Amino acid sequence: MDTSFTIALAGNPNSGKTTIFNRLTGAHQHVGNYPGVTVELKEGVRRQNGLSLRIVDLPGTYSLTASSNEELVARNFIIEHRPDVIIDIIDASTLERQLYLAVQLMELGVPLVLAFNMSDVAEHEGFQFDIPLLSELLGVPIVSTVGSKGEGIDELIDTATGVARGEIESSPKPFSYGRDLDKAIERIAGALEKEELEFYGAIPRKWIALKLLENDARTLERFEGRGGIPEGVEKTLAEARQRLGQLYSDPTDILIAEARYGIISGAASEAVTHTIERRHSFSDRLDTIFINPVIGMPIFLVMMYLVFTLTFRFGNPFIGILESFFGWLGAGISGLWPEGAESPLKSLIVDGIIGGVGGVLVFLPTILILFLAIAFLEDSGYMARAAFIMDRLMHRIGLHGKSFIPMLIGFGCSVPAIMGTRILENPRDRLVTTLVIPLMSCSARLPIYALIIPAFFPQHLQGPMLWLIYFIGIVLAVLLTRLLRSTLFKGESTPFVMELPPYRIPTFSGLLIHSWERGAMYLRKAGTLILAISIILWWATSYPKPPEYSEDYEDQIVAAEEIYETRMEELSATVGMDELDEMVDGISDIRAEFSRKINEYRLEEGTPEYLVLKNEYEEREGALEEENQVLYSAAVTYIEDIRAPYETELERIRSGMSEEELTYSIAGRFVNFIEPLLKPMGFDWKIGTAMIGALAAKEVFVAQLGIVYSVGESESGSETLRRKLQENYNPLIGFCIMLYVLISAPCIATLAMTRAETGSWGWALFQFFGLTVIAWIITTIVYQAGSVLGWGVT
Amino acid sequence: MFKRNNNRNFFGHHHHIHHHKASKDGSMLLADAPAGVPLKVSSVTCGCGIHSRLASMGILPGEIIEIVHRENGGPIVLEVKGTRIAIGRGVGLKVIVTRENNADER
Repeated sequence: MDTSFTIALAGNPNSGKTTIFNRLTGAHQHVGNYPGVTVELKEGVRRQNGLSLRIVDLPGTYSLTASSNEELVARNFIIEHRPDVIIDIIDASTLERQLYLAVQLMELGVPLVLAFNMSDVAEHEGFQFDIPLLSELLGVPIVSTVGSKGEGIDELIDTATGVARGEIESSPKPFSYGRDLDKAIERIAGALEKEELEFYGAIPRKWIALKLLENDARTLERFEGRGGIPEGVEKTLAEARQRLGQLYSDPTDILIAEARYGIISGAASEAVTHTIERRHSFSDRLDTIFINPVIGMPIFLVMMYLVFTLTFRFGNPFIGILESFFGWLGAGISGLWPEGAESPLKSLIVDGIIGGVGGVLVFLPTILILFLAIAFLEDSGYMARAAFIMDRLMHRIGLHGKSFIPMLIGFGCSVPAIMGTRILENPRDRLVTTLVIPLMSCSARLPIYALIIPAFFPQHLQGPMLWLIYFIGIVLAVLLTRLLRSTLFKGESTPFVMELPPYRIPTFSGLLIHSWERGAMYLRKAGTLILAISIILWWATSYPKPPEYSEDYEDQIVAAEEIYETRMEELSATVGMDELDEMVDGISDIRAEFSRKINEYRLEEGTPEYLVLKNEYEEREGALEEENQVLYSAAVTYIEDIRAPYETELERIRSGMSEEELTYSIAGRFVNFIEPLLKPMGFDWKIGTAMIGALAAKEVFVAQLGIVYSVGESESGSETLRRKLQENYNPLIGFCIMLYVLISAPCIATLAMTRAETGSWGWALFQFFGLTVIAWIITTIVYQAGSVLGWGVT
Repeated sequence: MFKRNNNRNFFGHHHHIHHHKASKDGSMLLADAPAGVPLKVSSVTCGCGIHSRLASMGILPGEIIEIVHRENGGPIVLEVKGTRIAIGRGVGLKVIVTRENNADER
């Protein structure tokens, strides 16, 4: 018999709820499908004793008021989906505060089980709980657990299922909020009973009465949406409020809150003893360092620096590996079609899908590492301190202290950063932060800077230039935030109230799960909307195809092939082909290695190190020559006089063709159309097309520029491209390109994420076009001013 | 004989000059309260739903709290019901406390 129960997990943030959820569901978890819910609910399945249990992880909340999305989502889930039992995960070492949520869950009337989690810590701190007594006083079963070690989990589930089946009793004692409040609640509940309130189903009327007395926004909203509060109820409510107002000076919701805590401390004073007085001492000692006004901030900056250096140092090798992988994949799939065949399907898969999506996936390892680092900071408890330190600064800009965390992530990638804005409770803070995040120059823009800066600026200016770009991004973000806050998003700053959890050593599994969650989101975005738009962009840059080309490319290809064949025939008369292959490979390897070393160590021609290296590799080639002089010179002839010109010619033809195709295509025509807008910034059509490509993902910019300048995929690609850039543009334009790239429309992944998090295309498009317009204005000003003043115009 | 007062009392100790922070009944803003001593919350000024937020953290009238860490003009770290809660300066201006003299000795 496979009965199925739904168990909901509730609890404060930092109570270890996630750990327990993971223990209960293991790998069998996924994001629940609840339309219209902006906070994601994780769900999982567990098989226990022949039962199939559906476990839902409600968002961590301190309370069930209507003040934050998380609380509303948790509350609404309970109301609408009526789980069979709720498990409230409680950090036993901070029992009294944690029970505030438990009391509110009891008010909802759903069967409840309490998990006294982190009981090992509580014991260590000197707490002793008389669990049976506490359980009796509150009227709900209590189980001690240590989530991080997996202790008590089985007992917890067994108790929960026992409650769900009705075998174990969970009936919260009806408690008293004080005589006057009790009377008020009773009267209002009575008035409610007389009404038809199907939208509240089986929810206790007392709960609704409580909410009305608390002026709960969501409850009032619900009534408004259905014609307002019924007259009888309204009257009773008004009477109650008046009477309470005469008797007490505090507003009703405070009275109710006090009553709840009163119940809790009443039970606690009977059933809980605390022998050791000074808790938190270790955390406090650490805090004297971390929150210290003098060294706190420098430590924070060091932490941030570490996070980023580690991320890029460990992530970059993966980028190379993945790029090779996708290149191999693309070549492999191309190979399925006969050589030289033109197939839209092939192009779609290779250029559109693999090119577009691959370009985004390449960053996955780097992003995962960044998330791992951030998860470490969060789980250890440091992140809360960092937000605390940053609060003052953030406050001056008009943001919440916690805003800096998503902004920090934004330096890696905007997509998870926007996801990260969820930690802000105020929707207005979330929105402003989201809109401004793209200005934190993401890692995808680095290849663009890496191309342009060395092309136009001398060595000693290169570092400062990069720093300048990042700095401008930050300054603009600050200005834009202030602007938004003083115009569209006016209002008081959200009060900064945040728990500082005790420092903890994060568990490895916890870290992996937290970082993987975010990585999975990034993947999902790549898999869906980016895929769709990559295809659209591919289509827009490939079609329509020109009916004929300006040159007879087909003939040229044939001609080049013929020359190649002829020369090869001549050559094969002098040497054997197999030995030639070997020698060619040998020489190519040496030369390729030389090239790679030059790039890796960034050696400049003519410097002593360069000459030393060159000598070394020339000697190695010389050794090959000695082996077999005839073969060697034949191989060199092949490499330099046969293969090289052939490949260059093919490249030229191919680039010419694609350039013409691009011009003819929709995207090309579009760029042509907007060229008058590009000119004031100093841009031309070629830069324009690269910008269009960059919409898919910023990385595409470099590739696209390569295409329009007929620079092939060969190793020295960027060198050649840099030279072409130098020939055609000047440092001022180079700077303007970077400026525009920094500020303008974020990539479509960001667009998609903004839409997902804000729930509306309106804000996403506002962000998209708003930033583009700002970018245009600023770049134009800079270019025009620069030209007039003669800056960087060589 | 004592020409200059200089706020020294008979034993030569300086009085700490209070900027009228404590009113007659000893209540003051949390933002101005001293650290390391038990404080009793007497009220929370209404506004922007802050009191329910504070309540869910355990800060409400009657509660004994203590300032663990503070900087001038910056956020404050409180001990509330055994947990550490950080609040911004603006919040500290909205909570009124009094010294709690008959709290349990630590």
